[in-house]
Amino acid sequence: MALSALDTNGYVEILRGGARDVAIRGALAASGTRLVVLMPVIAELLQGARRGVEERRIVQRFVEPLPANRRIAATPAEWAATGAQVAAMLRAGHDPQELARRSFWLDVHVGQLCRARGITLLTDDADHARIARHVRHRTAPLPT
Amino acid sequence: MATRKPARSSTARAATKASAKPATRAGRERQNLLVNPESLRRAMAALGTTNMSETVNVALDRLAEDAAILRGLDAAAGSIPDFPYLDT
Repeated sequence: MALSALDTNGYVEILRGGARDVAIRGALAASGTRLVVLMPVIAELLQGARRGVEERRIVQRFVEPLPANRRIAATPAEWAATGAQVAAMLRAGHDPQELARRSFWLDVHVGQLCRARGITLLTDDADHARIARHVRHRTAPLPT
Repeated sequence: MATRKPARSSTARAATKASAKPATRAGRERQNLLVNPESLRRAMAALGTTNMSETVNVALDRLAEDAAILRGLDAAAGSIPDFPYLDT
């Protein structure tokens, strides 16, 4: 059965509420896919928390309800593969300034993790379209 | 001299009978369910499971996990309306 994961922007839309949030949650409930949480995405999301209460809410709502087998964090081999992937992208002529950007590097890691685990990433982040040309992970747009 | 075996109590017979049953895995017990065999066959194909007990257990676990995940998302919805989009 297909595995899918929300990218950071999907979680932000849910936290903010509104029409997009309703569409995302509705589509997830109807899709029958198995949702997993990518811990690098949660790390990125937590960067936006301005207060402890926001940090706790993110963890309580998005991480704690999931059993351990649905919380996805890289193995040592997957971390090593991310480094090798970034090096390969540099050799292939990818913009070094972009690869030096921390969030872009983290997105390469997310892509690498998705490919390794067969996870479809639900995202609107244009960075992933460029990363997928190298990493070959599956992406799908967030529902609207 | 012939010896006579002591009579076994009904409790002892019940214990022997119970221990003769195939052991069930920890945390599981036998249930007598009426199941639609076609649904079970389709669930086995979807889940990639190889026996009926495993199919029922995996399906129940996933259903409960999915429901908990969706409840978490529902509870978070709109809870931080000004959450910032970082320059990611």
